[in-house]
Amino acid sequence: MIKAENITKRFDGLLAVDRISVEIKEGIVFGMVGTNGAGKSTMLRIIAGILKPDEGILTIDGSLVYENPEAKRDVFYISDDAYYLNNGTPVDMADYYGAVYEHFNRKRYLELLDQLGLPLSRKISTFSKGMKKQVSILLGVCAGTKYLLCDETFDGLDPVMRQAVKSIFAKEITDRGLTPILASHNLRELEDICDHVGLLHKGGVLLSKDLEEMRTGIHKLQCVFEDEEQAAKAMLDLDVVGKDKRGRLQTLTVRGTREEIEEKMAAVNPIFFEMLPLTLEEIFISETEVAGYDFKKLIL
Amino acid sequence: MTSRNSFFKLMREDLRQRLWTIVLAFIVFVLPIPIAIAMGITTAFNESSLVRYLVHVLQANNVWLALVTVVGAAICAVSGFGYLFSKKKVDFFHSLPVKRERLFMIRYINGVLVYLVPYLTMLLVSFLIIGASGSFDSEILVAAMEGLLVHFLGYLTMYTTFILSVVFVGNIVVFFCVSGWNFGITAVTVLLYSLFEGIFFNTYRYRGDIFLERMNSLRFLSPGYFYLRAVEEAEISMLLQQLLCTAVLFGLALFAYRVRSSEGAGKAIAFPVLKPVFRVSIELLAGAFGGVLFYMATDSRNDMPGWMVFGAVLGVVLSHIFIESVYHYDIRKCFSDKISLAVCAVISVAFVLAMRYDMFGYDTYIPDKGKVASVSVEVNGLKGYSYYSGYSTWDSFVIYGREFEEMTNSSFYLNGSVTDGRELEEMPPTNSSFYPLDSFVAYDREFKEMALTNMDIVYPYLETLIKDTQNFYHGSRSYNGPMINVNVTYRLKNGRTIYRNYRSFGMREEVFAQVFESLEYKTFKYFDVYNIPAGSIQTVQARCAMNECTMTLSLAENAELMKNLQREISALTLKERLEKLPVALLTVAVRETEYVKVSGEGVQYYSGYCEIPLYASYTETLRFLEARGFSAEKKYEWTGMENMYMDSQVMFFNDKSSDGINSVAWPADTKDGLLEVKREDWQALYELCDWRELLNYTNPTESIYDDYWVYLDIPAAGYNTYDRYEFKVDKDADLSFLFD
Repeated sequence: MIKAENITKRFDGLLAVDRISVEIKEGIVFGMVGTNGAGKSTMLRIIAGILKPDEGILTIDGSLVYENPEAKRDVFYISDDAYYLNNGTPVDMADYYGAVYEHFNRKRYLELLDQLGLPLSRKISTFSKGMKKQVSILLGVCAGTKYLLCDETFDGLDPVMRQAVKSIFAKEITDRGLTPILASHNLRELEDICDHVGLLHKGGVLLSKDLEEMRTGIHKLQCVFEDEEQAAKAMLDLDVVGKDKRGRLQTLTVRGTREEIEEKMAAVNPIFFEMLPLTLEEIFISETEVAGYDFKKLIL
Repeated sequence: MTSRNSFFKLMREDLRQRLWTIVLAFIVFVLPIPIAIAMGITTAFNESSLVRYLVHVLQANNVWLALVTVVGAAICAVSGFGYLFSKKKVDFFHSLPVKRERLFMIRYINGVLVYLVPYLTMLLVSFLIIGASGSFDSEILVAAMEGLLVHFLGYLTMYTTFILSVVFVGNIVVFFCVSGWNFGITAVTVLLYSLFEGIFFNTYRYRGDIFLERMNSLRFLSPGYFYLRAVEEAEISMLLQQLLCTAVLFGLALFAYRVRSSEGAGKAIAFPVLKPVFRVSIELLAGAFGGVLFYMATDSRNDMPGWMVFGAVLGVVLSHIFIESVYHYDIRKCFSDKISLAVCAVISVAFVLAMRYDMFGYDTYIPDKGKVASVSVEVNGLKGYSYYSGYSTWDSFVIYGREFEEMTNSSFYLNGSVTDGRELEEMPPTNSSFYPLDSFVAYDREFKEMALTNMDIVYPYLETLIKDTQNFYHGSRSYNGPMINVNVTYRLKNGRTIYRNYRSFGMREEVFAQVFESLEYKTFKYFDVYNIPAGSIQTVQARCAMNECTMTLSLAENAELMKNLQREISALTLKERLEKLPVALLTVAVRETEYVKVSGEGVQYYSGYCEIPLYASYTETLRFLEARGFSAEKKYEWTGMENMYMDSQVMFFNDKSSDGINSVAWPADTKDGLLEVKREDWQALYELCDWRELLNYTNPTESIYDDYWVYLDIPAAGYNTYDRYEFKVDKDADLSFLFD
């Protein structure tokens, strides 16, 4: 488990990460979202042991990570702007990482390169941006680490390749319990892969929740009431966090399980009501609005 | 834990990344040197010159090897640690599960191998070529190994210093600036301070080796100095100190590398704490330089400190603008940290003014008596008495018949001027004559060896000198007599040495006499008389004008002569020394192989001969010489005299009764601008003459250059030419008989 307690990092007096506390359990896909400058990359670099936090403690499985090869051996960091060895080919990169990560799976790396159609012995500097990303991801996946830190990794991948990468991740998660930690400014990228999402804003964590928990705990409800009195009664019974009214049709965002909401609505007995699924984006809009932020200004 | 195996794997991978440096190193080592050796072998005149050439190519002071070492150190430091300048490279390497120390060592060792392996390969190829040509000599092997040691150690020093520069900064441009700082700040400070001393301090004493001497004392602050010195002359003790210095630098570089934050990449300076260190030091130096530059640019006689202040402020401001712009990569930030700018400007102005007005008391400083171990005093013009034909401070620097070829590329003083080995090679062989290196050696010895310890005797004189110097420069100048320069060296008990040059109003006999007449002073001033063993004396020659007598004495006679001289020199008063000319000169020639003294510093003086002036008061010595055929009386048999000439100046000044200067007609012929003296006037004129050789020992306050010169030409025995003797006639002498 990766555990961050009150991590703070400043660059030349500028607060990049502000007392972030977060726990990332093994075997989940952790999404870290936030606008540019929210502190995602800094946080990942701190987790990777590149940066030393000014304050707070960051441990991986109980061990401090900075300047601790034992802890860092379980972490692979894929930078947003990755470095490839001078004149290096995918094979050269495998040689280098093979010298560092003792569980580096060269065989699988070469297989995956082949599957994705990436040339083995061509200089990476001649690759497209997407191809370079693929090489990075494959290196990270094959390094055999428990945690894979991906900074905007899906940015630049075409939809087909994104799906391919997701399936590779899924296999690694299933086979050996890989814990990918994905940082992105695009919530939609993470929607269908993350188990847990942390929202960063201005260096702090706005919220960090399990996606399933969020999905089951909040719902969108479309309904038409007979009159205002009935509507008011329903509002009192429900934990409404957002509402929109167009004519007589009201769209409510309501906290609670599906069953609880259906039971309460049945008791009120409106003219019409229907439960609709919420997108991750809508969930975040609701959650951040509850926290007093305008989510649309934070992200998207 | 990264296994040992992975250590070497990472080394291999790192070397693969710097393949270009390896190729470059092989090109600059393995191509030029063996080719130069092969060319030398095919074009050598003889075996001896070939060995000399090969030694020269492989030895420590090969400029090419030194250049490769310095440039190679910079290249390897940047190729190995330059990744610290790039954020994405830092992220890559520092995210790896490898400890920083290990990463440092991998890269450090690789940088060393990139230099060492091609160097060793070059030596191997060179030896193969030399061996194949049959020219191999142990001397070449020794020179090559010494060269390897010096250059390799120099490489380690320079390489480690460059690494330190890389670690300190965040981009390549600032790397060059900080490298310049690391290597040059001490030298620039020393040069600037010396410049201030020379310009502002009246008692500053210039010495040719002052820069190197100061750099030597500050060598641990200037890593490059060690290498430069080792290239010039490799000494084990210095090499060990260099090794120590390199070890400290290594520790510092490793520590800095470990604590360097990854976010330092791309910044000007990776360690914020170092920013003020670099900036303030450069601003203060720039301020000081600006101040002195404007002082020199304006007319110093008008003494306009305003311009000096302006220069100091300008220097600080310009350097601040430059540094802050570099720090922020933004010219708009050039006036950041205004408080620091103001403080530096104030300090610079205060410093230049303090130096200008000697607020530190440089000119009036005299060490506390109790802290002084010894003092040496050289009164300018109070000529030395010893002449040396051999001088050796270097093992290979042995002259007269020995190891001449060793000196082909050396420079040294000969008869007061710098010459080179070729001139010496053209000299006659060992026993033929004397070739004095006098002025250099006598001066050198007087300062290095004179050690007056009785401060009660010396200090009154020194205090007078300080007062006179202050009065000369700052007081009313009622004194119109000649000024005497006096060089003084204070050697303090704490090992520090202070050099001063004073000016005195005349000889200051009232206080100098007790110094001059002290036995301690005499034993240094007349060093040879008190130190030459009687058994080392080969011949003794006494001379007085044209009277010459060379004598080979027995051991007992030599001992008696030296004993007499010691006793009479000890009794010589300053009054006699200043007011009387010597009556004769005594030249004592020392056996070829005798060393007069081997000093504690390893400086050896090989004395060919010494010249001792004999005064009228040396009655025992003169009696001793007279008993062996020498008379100090000035006399000459005029038969055989070729001619007697007079300086033409006599025409302008002698006629006291004349209103004009061209009114005197010379009654005889002229030749080559000299006036021939009528034969009947020879004896009368000769009686007024002083032999020029004796004039070396006049009173320094008396100028002899306004006097007239007389030349006597005497046919040289067996040759169709003549020897010319020079004499002086006082300008106030009555020479009217010459115009009759």
